[in-house]
Amino acid sequence: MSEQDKDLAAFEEYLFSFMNDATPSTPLTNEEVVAILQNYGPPEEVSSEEKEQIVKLMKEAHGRRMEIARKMQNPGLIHSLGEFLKLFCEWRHIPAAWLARLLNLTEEQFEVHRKDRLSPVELGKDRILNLAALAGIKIQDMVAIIDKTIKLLQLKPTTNFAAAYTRVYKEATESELLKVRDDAMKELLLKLDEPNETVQPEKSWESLRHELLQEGAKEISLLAETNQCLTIRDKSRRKFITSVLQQI
Amino acid sequence: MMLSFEDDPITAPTDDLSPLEKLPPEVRAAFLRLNDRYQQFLGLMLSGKPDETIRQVLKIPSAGAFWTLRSRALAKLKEEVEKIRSTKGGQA
Repeated sequence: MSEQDKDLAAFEEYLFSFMNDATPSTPLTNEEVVAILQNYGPPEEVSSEEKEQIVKLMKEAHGRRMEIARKMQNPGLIHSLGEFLKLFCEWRHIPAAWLARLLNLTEEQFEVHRKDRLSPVELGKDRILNLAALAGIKIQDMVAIIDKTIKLLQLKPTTNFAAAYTRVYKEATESELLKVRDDAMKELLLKLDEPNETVQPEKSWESLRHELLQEGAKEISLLAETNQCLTIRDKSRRKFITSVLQQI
Repeated sequence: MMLSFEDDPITAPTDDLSPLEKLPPEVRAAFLRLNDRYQQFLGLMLSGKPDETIRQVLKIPSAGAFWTLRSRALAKLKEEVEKIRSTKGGQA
C-alpha cells in the first residue's frame, strides 16, 4: 500500500468516526457552516471563547430543530394557525413571502394570519386544503389547529365580570382615568350584545369545518381505495408470475 | 402514568441528521465545494450504502471505475479540507 493510499484510508476512517457517533456534530444549515468558518477562521486558530460560542450556536440550532420536528410530527402540540405557519416556514427553511405566494395571499394578508390577528375562516376552504397538503398533515389535524385558533380569537365570557370589578374599584377611588376605563368597558359589553359581532364567524366556521372534514373523509377513502387497487394489482401480478412459472 | 415527550414514540426527539450534518464544519464546507458526482458518491458511502448499491445508483460500469472514483473523491475532499484548515474559511 502506497503512502497516499494509507493517507486516504486514514482520512476515510476519520470521516466514518463521525457517522458512528450518535451525537450530531453540526446540526446547522450549509449557510451557517460557511458563515462560521468565514467569521471564526480555520479550526486550529479558533480561541476557546469562540469555540464556546460555536458550540452554543450548534446546541441552540439543534434544540430548536428537534422542537419544531416534534411539533410538526404531532400537530396536537401546535396552539394556533399562526404558530403553525411560523413553524412550517422555519421547518422547511422557506421565506414567508414564498409560502404566501403558494397560498395565493399577499404578504400583508399572510403576516396578519401569521400573527393570529384574523380568523382562519378568511383563508377559505381551498387555501386550508392546500396548506394541509403542503405540510403533509391530515385535514382533521388542520381542523383541530383552526378550532384552537378560533377559540383564541373569541372573547372569553369572563370579560362580563370585569365591569363589576371595575365598579367596585371605582367606588373606592374616583378618578378621571377610571371613568374612561368604565366607559370603554360599557362599550365593549354593548358590542358583545350585538349578535353580528361574535356569532357570525362561528357559524361560517361551522359550515367550513363540516366541508373540510368531508374532504378529509374523502381523502381517507381514496387512500383506502388506492391501497386496495395496489393489493389487487400485486395479487394479479403474483398470479401471472406463478402461471408463467408453472408453464416453464 | 402519563408519558413524557421523550418517552412517547411519536414525540420523542430523533436523530434526523444527514451524514453531511454529522461532519465537522470544515469537512462539511469542503464537501460543498466538490462536484455533484463526488458529493453523491461520498454521501452514499457515508450513509453506509453497500458498494453494489452505489454502483447501481451512480451507474458505475466496473469495479475498477468504482475504486478510482472512490479514491479520487476522497483525495479531492481531503485536499479541500486541508485548504480550509490552512486559510480562513478556505479563502486565498
